Amino acid sequence: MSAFFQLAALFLLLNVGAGLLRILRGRTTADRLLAVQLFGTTGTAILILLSLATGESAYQTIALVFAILAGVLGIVFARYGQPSAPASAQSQELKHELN
Amino acid sequence: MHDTEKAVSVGRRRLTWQQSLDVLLRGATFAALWWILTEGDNAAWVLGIPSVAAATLISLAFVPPTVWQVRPFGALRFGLYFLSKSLLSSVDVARRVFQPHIPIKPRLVRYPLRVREVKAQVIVANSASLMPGTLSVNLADDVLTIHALDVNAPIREELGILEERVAGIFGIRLEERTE
Amino acid sequence: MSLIDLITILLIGAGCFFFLAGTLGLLRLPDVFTRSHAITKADNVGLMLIMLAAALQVETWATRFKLGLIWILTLTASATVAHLIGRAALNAEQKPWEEST
Repeated sequence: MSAFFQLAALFLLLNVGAGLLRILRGRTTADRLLAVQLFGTTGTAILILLSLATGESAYQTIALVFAILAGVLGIVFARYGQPSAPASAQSQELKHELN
Repeated sequence: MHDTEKAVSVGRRRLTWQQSLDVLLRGATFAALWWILTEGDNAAWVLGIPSVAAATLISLAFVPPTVWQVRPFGALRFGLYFLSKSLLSSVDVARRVFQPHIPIKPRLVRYPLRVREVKAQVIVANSASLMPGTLSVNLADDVLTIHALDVNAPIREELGILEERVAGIFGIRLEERTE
Repeated sequence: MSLIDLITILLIGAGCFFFLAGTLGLLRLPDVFTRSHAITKADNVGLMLIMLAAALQVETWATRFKLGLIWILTLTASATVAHLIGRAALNAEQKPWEEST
């Protein structure tokens, strides 16, 4: 079973890697927030799988802290991560990215 | 609220029995959290009891005791509705993204909320994001702005049901919309 | 292999499938709103299934509740962050993608 858990964790890690490609291409506030979301959820799942693979419950504690920090990060982004550049410039950048 | 006969005294403040219930529930919640975090280790209660007491007092300093409004049956009903819908939502996402041409027709939808209580509005907004085809993108002036994945889906009907379920948690009665 | 282990493998397999769907959505969908749709919904169900599998494997109820607590926290954070993404994009006057006809 341990090998299966490790394999699943590796698969999710590849998912995060693929998601990072997407986020690297889009450099807006909204895209960075997507990274927070991706790491929050997939990261938690990977840690839980590692706790199952190793039988080490410390991974669950890390997952718990991860989950709490994901919420705090969201609040910090909301408070301080608002686009400071003129809104039109930001949307121009995004339109360019979409085309 | 003015139930002074049944009031008990906590510190210098007099609490109604409903407020006392709130204090007890907070204590019980913190105790449950401690039990979970220490994985049921009995020896840890030496530190746990003072910690739970401190956490309860700190929470009372930030949020004064209120009257507990949650209806257990309503909360359960909402929970089951939410679980089944959130399962469906990810099946819906999977169904779309595995197709060669992703079938979506996104639009922004303005949804005037019938519930006025902020906490209920926040639950509606956050739940909507985890349900099929809807993503809440703004909540202001009793209007929820939804990004709909498919404009042809019955968005307003679904949101209406969600709103009723959330209102059911707090026992709020929704008025018919006047438009 | 025990029945519990078999169910665990099925749950984790299904969980990974939904994570894959979320990532595919992230890569293939046209704008930040639709991408957020995909990862918010798919990843949370993926996590839920993996948490259920973990609940079958761990030994104590305290640990199961801990897993549940982690799931609820992640769920709340994810839904909140999804809302903030949408709001940030709207504030940046980003127009949601519409299919060009």
